[in-house]
Amino acid sequence: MTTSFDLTPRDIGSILEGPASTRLRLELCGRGLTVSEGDKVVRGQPLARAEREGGGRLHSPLDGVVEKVGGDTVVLKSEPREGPRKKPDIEVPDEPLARLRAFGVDSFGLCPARTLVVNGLEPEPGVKTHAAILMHRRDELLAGLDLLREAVRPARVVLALPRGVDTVFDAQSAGFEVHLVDPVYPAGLMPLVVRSVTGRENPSEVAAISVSRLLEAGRVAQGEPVTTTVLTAGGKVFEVRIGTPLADILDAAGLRVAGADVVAEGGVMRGAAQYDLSRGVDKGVQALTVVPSARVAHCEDAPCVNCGECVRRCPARIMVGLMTRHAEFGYHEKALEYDLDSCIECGLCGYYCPMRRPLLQYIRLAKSELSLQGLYPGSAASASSGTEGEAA
Amino acid sequence: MSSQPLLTVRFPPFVHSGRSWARMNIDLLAALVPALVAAVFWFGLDALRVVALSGAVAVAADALAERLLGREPRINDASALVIGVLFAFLLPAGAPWWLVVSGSALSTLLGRQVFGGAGGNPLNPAVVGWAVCKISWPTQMTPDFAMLDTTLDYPLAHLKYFGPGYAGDFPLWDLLLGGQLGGLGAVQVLPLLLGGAYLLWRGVIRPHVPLAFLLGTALTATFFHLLWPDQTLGAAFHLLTGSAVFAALFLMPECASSPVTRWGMLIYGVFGGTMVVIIRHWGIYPDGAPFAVLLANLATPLLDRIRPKAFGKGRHA
Repeated sequence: MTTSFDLTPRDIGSILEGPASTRLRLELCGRGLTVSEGDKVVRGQPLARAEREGGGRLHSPLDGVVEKVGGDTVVLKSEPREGPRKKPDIEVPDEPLARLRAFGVDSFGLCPARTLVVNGLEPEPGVKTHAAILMHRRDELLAGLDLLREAVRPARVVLALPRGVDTVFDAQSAGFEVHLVDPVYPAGLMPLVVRSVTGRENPSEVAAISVSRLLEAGRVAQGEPVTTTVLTAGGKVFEVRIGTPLADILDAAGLRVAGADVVAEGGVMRGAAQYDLSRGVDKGVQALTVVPSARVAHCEDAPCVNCGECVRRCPARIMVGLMTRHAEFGYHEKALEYDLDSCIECGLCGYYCPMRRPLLQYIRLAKSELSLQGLYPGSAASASSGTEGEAA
Repeated sequence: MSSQPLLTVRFPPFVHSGRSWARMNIDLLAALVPALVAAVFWFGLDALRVVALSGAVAVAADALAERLLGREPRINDASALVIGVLFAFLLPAGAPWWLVVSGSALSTLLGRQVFGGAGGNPLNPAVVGWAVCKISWPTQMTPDFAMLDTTLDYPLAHLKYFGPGYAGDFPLWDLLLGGQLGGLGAVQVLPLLLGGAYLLWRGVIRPHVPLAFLLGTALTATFFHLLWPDQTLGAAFHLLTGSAVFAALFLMPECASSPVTRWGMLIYGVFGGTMVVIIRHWGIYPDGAPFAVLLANLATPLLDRIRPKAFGKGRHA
């Protein structure tokens, strides 16, 4: 059964409120915890500081108590607040990018630049997160844009929108230049959007940000830290608190899960499959997808027959077959010579491979091994959550 | 976690296009059926015997080799059967059983098993087997000697030994329909063209290699004919005789031995097509097509280097 690669968001409803779970399970993702078990927390209070350069802090999405700390997770239990709401004590740095980070927004890909590209295309087929945000959160987006202008000081701000759905947002009056892109996957991935807007690949004086992250910046501009994420699940768009158990979100979306299904944070092409539905949703997740077991693709430990299908489909013009053969046998540096670093991880190669080779896995393995040796920019942790800086 | 079902955890993408190597090989076999039917029509049940024997031996030899070499057997993908059938198509219908068995086994063993199995072959396996047989047993491999009780002629031998005046008498329509000697399946030009059209429609092969090959053959033949009109024949003759069309559609585009880049494929095709006419004109063999395939295969790694720079590199950055 062929997947539709159409990125046109359809039936964009309103943004629904996420489930009111009493317990939130937040993944630290390597951040350093600054609270301990038993501490009382208020909504917006910082919980963990970023250890990665450019990473944002983690804040509590609820009023309550730190129930349990373990592994890389912190469980918060909601408790009614005693007394009036106190504004959480967060020092506000002057420098705009530092301010973003202090309030929970990652600042990857943002730096002073001549052009600021805002990606309004959906990252994967079936997702309508960006469209819903554009339609319903205009004021926050504009507030975020002001903060971004301070940080990036661009001469030009371009909003990339999917062709055919450009009416969801009145960009002209907001001061955006609009650039229309044909909404076919993988056109929504950041490097390809930047190329479509600027005509160049990985240009140096361009800063890029997704509409999701612009919304987060808008929250910061209004003085609030990031405590929620807007995601698409079951055809509806929700704003859920970070750490909401996946099971609760699936229930709210009306998604049933059966044995051997795949439940992924993200979409079918680039998502991260989960094994525990009590896990809390990560910050920045834009979709929650269930793939029924009958549709889940299997992989095989098969040799490459050099059919060239992957090479034809690769949007990054990489000799994928040859490159992944090197990664398969541990010749990661040779894989780098064959343009491993140009890969944008769209997953099309593995989708079309007639031998069902785990191509994206070989690519991520090579990137991970090389980054451990310091030979590849980026972090090995990006392989797990699929958010390499910002992919889309 | 106890009440939730057991989920599948794998890396993305979680869906697949459905394209499979096994189905591509079966499509290839299906595309060869019209030519097989035509071969039986022209050469009798001997043709069927040769193809069946060759296919069976290829599959058996491949499976045995995989077992001995400790690899997982890949019988299900029909790729060994394809090699056996393609090899058989290059043989004269009167080939003796021991030739069929040796050649077919050599095709899979020497053609790809020693190189690591499926996907490892630098040369087209069927042509490797053919080349070994052609050089070891030239008499049995020559259609005129192997097919004594037939009224059909071998046009390329006529061209080489009797000259264009004699060979030019072949009506082109007869050549198209397969009324000639040569490889039992390779000379069934019209059925092969139909099979090739099917493969193009199914996306099993791309048009670049076959078209470039036929163009190379046609242009070189035309060019030679302009230079030496008394010693050569034109493009139509060369395209419709021997294994030219068979090579273009079924031998040259073999995955592991052909380039994957667009310009690589085009140059590969033209090079092969040109070599067909060059070998036919100056070589000692009446038909140069299978050797042209091997020569083109050797150029593949070099031709694969003709490719655009990857994302973010070169002039795009």
